[in-house]
Amino acid sequence: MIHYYDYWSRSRSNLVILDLVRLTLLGLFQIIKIIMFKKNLQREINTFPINPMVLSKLAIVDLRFLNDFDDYTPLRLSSEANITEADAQEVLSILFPKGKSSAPTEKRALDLLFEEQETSGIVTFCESLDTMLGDGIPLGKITEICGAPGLGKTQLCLQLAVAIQIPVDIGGLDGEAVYIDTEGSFIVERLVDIATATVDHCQLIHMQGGGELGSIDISVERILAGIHYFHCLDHTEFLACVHQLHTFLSQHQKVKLIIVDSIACPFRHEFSDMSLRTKLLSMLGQTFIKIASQNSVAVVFTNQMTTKIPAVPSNQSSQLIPALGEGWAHISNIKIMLYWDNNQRRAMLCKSPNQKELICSFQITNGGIRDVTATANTDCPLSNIAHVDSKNSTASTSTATENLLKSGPTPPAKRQKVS
Amino acid sequence: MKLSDLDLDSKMIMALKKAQIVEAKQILYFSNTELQHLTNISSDNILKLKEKVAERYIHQRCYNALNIYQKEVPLQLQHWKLSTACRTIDSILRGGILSGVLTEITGGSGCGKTQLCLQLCISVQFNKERAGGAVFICTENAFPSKRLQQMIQHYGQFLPGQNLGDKIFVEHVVDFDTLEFCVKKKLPTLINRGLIQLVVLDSITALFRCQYDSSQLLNRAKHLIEFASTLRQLAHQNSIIVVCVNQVSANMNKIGLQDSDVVPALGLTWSNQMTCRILLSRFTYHEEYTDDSGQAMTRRKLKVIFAPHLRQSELDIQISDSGIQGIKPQFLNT
Repeated sequence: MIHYYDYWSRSRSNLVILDLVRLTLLGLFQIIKIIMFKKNLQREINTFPINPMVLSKLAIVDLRFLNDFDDYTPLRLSSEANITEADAQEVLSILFPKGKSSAPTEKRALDLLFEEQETSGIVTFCESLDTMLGDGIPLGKITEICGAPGLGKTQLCLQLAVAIQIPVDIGGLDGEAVYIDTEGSFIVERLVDIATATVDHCQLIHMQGGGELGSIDISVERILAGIHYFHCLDHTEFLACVHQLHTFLSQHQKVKLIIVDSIACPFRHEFSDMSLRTKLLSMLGQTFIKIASQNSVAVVFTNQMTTKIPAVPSNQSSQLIPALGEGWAHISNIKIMLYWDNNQRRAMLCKSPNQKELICSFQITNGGIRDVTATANTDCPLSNIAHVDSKNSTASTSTATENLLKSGPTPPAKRQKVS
Repeated sequence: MKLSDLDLDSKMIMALKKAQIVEAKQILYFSNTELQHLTNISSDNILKLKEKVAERYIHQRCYNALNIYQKEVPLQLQHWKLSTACRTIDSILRGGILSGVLTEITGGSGCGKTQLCLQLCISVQFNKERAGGAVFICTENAFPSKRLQQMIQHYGQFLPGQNLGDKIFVEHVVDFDTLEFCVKKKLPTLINRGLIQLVVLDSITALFRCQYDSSQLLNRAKHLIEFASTLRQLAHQNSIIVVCVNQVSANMNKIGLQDSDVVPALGLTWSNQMTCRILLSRFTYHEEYTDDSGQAMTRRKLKVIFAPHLRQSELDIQISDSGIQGIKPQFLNT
């Protein structure tokens, strides 16, 4: 007993030593763990597109992870793994791609900001909608438009397909559009309406800027010829179509906008296997994200709405949510919800990386999507929200014609630049 | 499509079969890496394979909008319009009912839905571009043959020597299975013979309303979507007019669709499948608006709720011997 007593009552120096030993042991253990894990965290080489025959030969000599190849030359690899030197060369070039490295090229955030400022978005011809989105529909991002039938999803798509083709002279993007139609609601007659109105509008702006009538390179025929139309009947055809999109884009460099109207339609029937649907949708999402960022094209999806029935029957009433579920909801960068309010079409920005949540109203005229005029605005208290942004507080008091002029594309020169 | 239709070399087919891929479309369901894992085919060959499958599944090559506008495209992509046999109604419909898509005519009972359908059945035989017969699928009550005869008498004088009734095929359907059989088997036969250009389904609501109770809403939604897509494909592939009649139900919660007292039945699921929607409605005036005989006048309206090529608009209509007619706005003394 006394011995123990002695032990505990001794000066603290002994305890400190004990502590040190314990810490060292723990540290060693951690280091071992890190080493073990590092091996596990490395990417397995069978996830790379390597010829299976070669792969099996590599497995025999226990080369399974990416970091196993760190100090291999093609010559050494070919002799050790018993493969031809050409194969070894190919394997190494797949594993360690040169030029375009597997990691995205490094860019400073400032450069990205400059880049983003230089590329303007696609105007919607409704100023409050453009303001809500920051600067129209941005290129290189995925935008989703959801809404019940009859709210103007297709109209907005047609408008965008026309607006992308406004010449650079008056601040447009001079691009072309790919229109993937799954519902069969692409009516060329309506497109002609919108195109005609847009051409007139562009001529007007051009003449105000001192240009001569007819000297601007825009016409209805040109606009129509710049819209490439695909029609898909079911999801298999849609997948096939998306698969070919890559080749199509390399052949048509001018395409800056891809519209899918609607994404929901092919995926809402003939699906008994829900896990397949989820998988296909996420695969599609990834493909579109890749297409959007690599070619810097804007991708616009329309989505149907569906009623969410509460799981437990309760007082909570059912609500409207976009179709295709939670997994799909993550794909889009920007999400716009369209709805009716007091006989007024409204758009709400639900998700955006750089804008705050806003609501704005718009109307559909013969010429396409336009701002709501002042007189129609007064009876709606909510409309004030749309004009919170101080820059556009005057928008609600302008007349229809002024609006029409204003809603034209903003020349890039007007944009403020960060120096 | 089977794998054997793809004309691949036998080695590749073996590899695919080993990975339990029997149908060509399954190839598109996998990502490149996944396929490589499953089949041990090299990455280059997989790219070629996918390209091949994708080509086979695309039924139309890409056209631009100008091609469509100038009608240089296959028939499926060209839309034609079926006149309603009344110029005023045609003018707000920009020429009539659109082909290749689903059009819905909805409205309360006694608003003239069936009348309009009968009128379409007759007018399709007068169409200049695509004259043909019509199929009238009846689910609600007996086919109104008396009324049809009345209309035929009126229109028959414009097309002497032909009996307009001969080209209207009437089908009575009482349950969903018969309807499905009719749409999937009987209709294609008739269409292939080039006999019909118009399909009227009067009404879709009755079957779906009575065969499902409220606990089976999810099943109903699924069924509705399936059925609508069958109809849409039928309409698109043959470029014919498909008109569905829908009843209305009281508007309980005013969400999503436009505020009004009644909403078309079958909910959002069905609405999502429709391309055009036309609403017929009627109101009875108070005493101050009476006609000569002192009876309260009824005012009827035709309203375009949504359509990709039309603006929301409405028109006063009246029902006469010849069917539904629009009243030109300037003659309206209200």
